Amino acid sequence: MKRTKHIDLSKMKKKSALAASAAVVVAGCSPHVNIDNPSDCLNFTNLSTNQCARLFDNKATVTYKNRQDCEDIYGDDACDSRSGAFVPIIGGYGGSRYGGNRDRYSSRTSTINRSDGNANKPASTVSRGGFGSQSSAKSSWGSSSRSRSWGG
Amino acid sequence: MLRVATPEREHWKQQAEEYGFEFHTMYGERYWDESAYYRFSLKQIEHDLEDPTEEIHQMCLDVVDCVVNSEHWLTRFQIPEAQWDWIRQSWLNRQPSLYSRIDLAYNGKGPAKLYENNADTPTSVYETGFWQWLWLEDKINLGHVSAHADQFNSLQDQLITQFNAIKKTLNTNDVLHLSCCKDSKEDRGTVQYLSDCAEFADIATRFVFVEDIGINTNNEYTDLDNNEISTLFKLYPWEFMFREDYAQYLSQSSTQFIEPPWKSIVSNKALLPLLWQRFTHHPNLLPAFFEDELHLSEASDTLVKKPLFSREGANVSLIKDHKTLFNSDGPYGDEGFIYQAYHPLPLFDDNFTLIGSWLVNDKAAGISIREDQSPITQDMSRFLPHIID
Repeated sequence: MKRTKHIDLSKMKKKSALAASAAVVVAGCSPHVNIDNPSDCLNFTNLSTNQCARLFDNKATVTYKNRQDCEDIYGDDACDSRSGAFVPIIGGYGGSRYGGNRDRYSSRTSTINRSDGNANKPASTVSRGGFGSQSSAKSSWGSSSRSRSWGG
Repeated sequence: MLRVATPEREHWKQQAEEYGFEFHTMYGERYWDESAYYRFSLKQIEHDLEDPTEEIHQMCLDVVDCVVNSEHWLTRFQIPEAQWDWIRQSWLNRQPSLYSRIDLAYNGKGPAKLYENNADTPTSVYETGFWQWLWLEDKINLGHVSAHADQFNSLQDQLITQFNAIKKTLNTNDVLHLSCCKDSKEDRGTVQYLSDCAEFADIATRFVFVEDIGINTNNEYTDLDNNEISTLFKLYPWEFMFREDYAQYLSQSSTQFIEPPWKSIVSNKALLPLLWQRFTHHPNLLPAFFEDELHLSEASDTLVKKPLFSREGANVSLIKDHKTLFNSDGPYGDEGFIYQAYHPLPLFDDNFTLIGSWLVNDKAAGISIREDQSPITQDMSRFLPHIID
C-alpha cells in the first residue's frame, strides 16, 4: 500500500477539538451561556477578536503577576486577584459586565488554566513585530482584497 | 496517466466544514476540484515519480554542501553575509528538516522534469496528506473507484514519524511553536494541520503569528505570553526573515527552526543552474543558467526567466529571441533572475497539469496535482486528487 494506512478521523475534526478546550461560563444579567468557541466568545463577551482567538488557541489559563499587566490586555476592572496572581474575569454583556454578580463566577470556569501556570516571567519581552515586514511590503501589489499565502 | 471525470461526493462541503477545511473555495473560485481525478499505474508512480524524487533531493543536498562552504556561491545565492556561518553550522549539525515539495512536469511517460524545489515553505500539505486521502476512502466505499485503488500518499504517516524523530531533539518540556502570517486562511489551515500531526506525535504545540513574535531581554524570541520560543515551525520564507529587523538575533538565539536555515539554499532558484552545472544532462533536470551564462544556452531555446526568490508563479516570464512572450505579475525580482529551458506542462482536457512530489526528510511521501488554464501554475490553480489503479 502506497498510502497512509489509518487516520483517526475523530482527531481530525475541528469541532471536537474546540469542545475540548476550556469552557468559560459567562455570567451577567441573563442565564449562563457556556462559551466554548471563539465566535460565541465574540458574541457574548466584551473580549476583542484577538483576545477570543488567544483564549481558544492557547487552551490556557493566563495569570499575571500584577493587576496592570492583566488589565492592559483585558481592560480596566477586568481582572481579579486569586492566590497571589491576577486573572481575567470573563464578563457578560455590555455595560453590566459585573453587575454585582462576581460571586457567580466560579474559579473553575471563569479562568483558563495555562499548563505552565507561570506568574513569574523569566525575561520580559522588549519589542515585537521584528518579523513580517517583507510580508506586508510584498502583499501590497495586486488585488488588495486577496490575502497572500507565503507558502509556495 | 489519465484524467478521469467522476461524480462529486454529495456530502463533501459539509464534510469540509466538519474537518475545518476552510479554503476549498477561494475568492468565489473552486480550489479543491473533485469533478475529475488522475489515474496512474504503479510503475509510473514508482519508476517515474517516487525514485526520481529521492534522487533529485540527493542532488539538491549535494548542492547545499557545495554552497555552504563557498563564499562565491553564498554570494550568488544572495544570502546575507551575516547569516553565512549560522547557515553552515545548521548544515554541519544536520539540523532536522520536516518536509519539501518538488514540482515536476510529467505526462505519463519519459522522465519527469524538475521545475523547482519548494523546500522552505511548501503548502497544500493538508489537501494532499489528509483531504485527498479521505476522498479516496469515500470513493472506494461509494463504489466509484475499484476497491483495489490506492494512492501515492503516505504523507501524514511520514510527517508524524518525522515529528517523532524531531521530538528526540527537544528538551522534555519543550513546546513546539507554529507560526504563519496574519490574514491568510490557507496558511493558517496549513499550520493547523502540521500542529495536528505534531500532536499525534505527542508534542505540545502553541500558535503565534509571525508578526506577533517578540524578543526578550535575553535576545530570545518570545510568543504573545512572553514564553521563550525554543522550537519554531515557520510558514514564512527564510529570504524574508534574513532581511528583517529580527534577523540580527538569529545566529545568537537558541531557537531551533523548522525548516532549518540550510533549507534556504534548496528553496533558492539559484539551485537550478547550479544543479545543471554539477549534473549536466541528468534526465530529470532542465538546462538552467545564471544571467552571465546565457551564452551556454542554445540560441533556439525558449527560456523561462524566474526571480531568485518568488512564490506561486509570480514574476515569471517566457522569453524567445530576447522577446518576452508571456509574463506574470508580481513583487519579486530585486535579487536577480535565473533562466530555465522552457518545457511546457502537459495538457489534459485543456488543463495544464503540474505534479507536486512530496518529501518528508529524505523519503518520497506522495504527490499532489494542480491544474491551471495558464502554462504558469499560480496560487489559484485547482487541486485534483489521484489514484493508482
